[in-house]
Amino acid sequence: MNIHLDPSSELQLYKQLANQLIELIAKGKLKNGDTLPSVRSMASDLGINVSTVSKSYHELEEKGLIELKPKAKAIIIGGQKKELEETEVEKVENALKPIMAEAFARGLEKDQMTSLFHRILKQWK
Amino acid sequence: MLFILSIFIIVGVLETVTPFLSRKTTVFGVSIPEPYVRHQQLQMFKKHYSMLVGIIAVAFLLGQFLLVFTSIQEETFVLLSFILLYIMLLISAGLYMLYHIKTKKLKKQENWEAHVKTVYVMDLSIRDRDEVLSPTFFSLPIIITLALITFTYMNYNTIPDVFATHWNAAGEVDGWTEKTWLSVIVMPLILLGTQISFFIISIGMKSAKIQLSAQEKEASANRELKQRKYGSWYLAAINYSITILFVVLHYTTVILKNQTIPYFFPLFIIFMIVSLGGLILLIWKLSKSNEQFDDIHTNETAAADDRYWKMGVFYINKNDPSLLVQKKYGVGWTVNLANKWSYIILLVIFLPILLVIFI
Repeated sequence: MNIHLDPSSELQLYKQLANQLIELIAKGKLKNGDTLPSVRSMASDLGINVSTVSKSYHELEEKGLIELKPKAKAIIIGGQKKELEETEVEKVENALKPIMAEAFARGLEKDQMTSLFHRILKQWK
Repeated sequence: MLFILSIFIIVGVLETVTPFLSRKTTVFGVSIPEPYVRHQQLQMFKKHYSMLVGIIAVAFLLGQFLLVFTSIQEETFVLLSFILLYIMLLISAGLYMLYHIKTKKLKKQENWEAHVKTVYVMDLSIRDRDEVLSPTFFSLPIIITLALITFTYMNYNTIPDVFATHWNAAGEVDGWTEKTWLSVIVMPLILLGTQISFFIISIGMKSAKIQLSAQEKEASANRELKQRKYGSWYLAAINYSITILFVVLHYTTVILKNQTIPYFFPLFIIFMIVSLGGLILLIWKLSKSNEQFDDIHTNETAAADDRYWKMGVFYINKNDPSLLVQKKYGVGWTVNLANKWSYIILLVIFLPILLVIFI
């Protein structure tokens, strides 16, 4: 369960951290009920600012993937299979649409896009 | 004499091999980007340092051996040995500084930092594998000391009006203290201070940074876990043996009316063996778990923290909430001087020494 952040990437550090944690949840390596390291120890081990880690955690909390508890605990609540509400599905669609539109506009074939989609989904079982 | 000589030999050997005990990514307190860890010049620096210190240590040792065969008095011999020991430590500190500067210069000249890509790495599951002893383990000796203080006050009436508090090198009493409500618990209080600082250190150890390398994640994780585990075991061994030593010292002087010598001195020798032997055992365990960097695949390196280190020795980092960090040079821990708790630890560690000298 490695975290690997690249400060030279155009993606901000807190975003990279959040993305990698989300991916670990999607892969099932972080399961419902698991505890993440406290903000302090995560920042200390990575060697980055406490506020950066805190920002990532808050983003995950907003997305409903973790629950922040007192004593700096962060518990995973995502990852379990449940019926998503209509509005949430819509949210995913809205987020996905511009990315797919951009790829299509840049010349990606629909077939290629479908196989790409399947390839990514396969990583998460 | 044999005892003094063995201390000298142990210290000499440790000083000589220290450059090879640090993690591979720091050389003389300077962070080395992972792709350059096997740089020829760095290996040379380490070898030169070890050879110089080794030669000096052997020369001093030979000098002491020659002294043994002269008709020198034991006390003068001990004094001379300690002076030689300190000279050796000073010389190796000076050599350390020299090679610290040389390494820094080399790193700058070849502009290593421009050729590597810094990344931040960690392993989310590593804290589950961490085996640092819990602070609870370090709270037990504190309870023993509190019990000892209570016991002393319960027996206050049977304590003689004056009791011995200072001995010369031959083991004869040369200092007495009058009985007061405070003076009878000075010894347990010093012990309590030491134990409390050990307790704080154990909390600091638990939350200290686990530094992984970018290219040898598994090996560096292994080294870190070993260092934390055996480091805390060593701390506990020292803690418990100091507790036994002080309890015996207090009990034999205050309660048993000056019967210290037959009990304390053998125990003191055992204490020295535990602390020095334990240190050697610790270092031997750690040296077996160092990273190798046999194959370097990319130009990635874990983020360095050189700017928070003064001369590679003192760590001052306001952004780091932790109290303890692993030393950059050699084996062990040092305090984060930007953390106000560090001064309390330093005070408590040096207070007993000052008290022993001045009382």
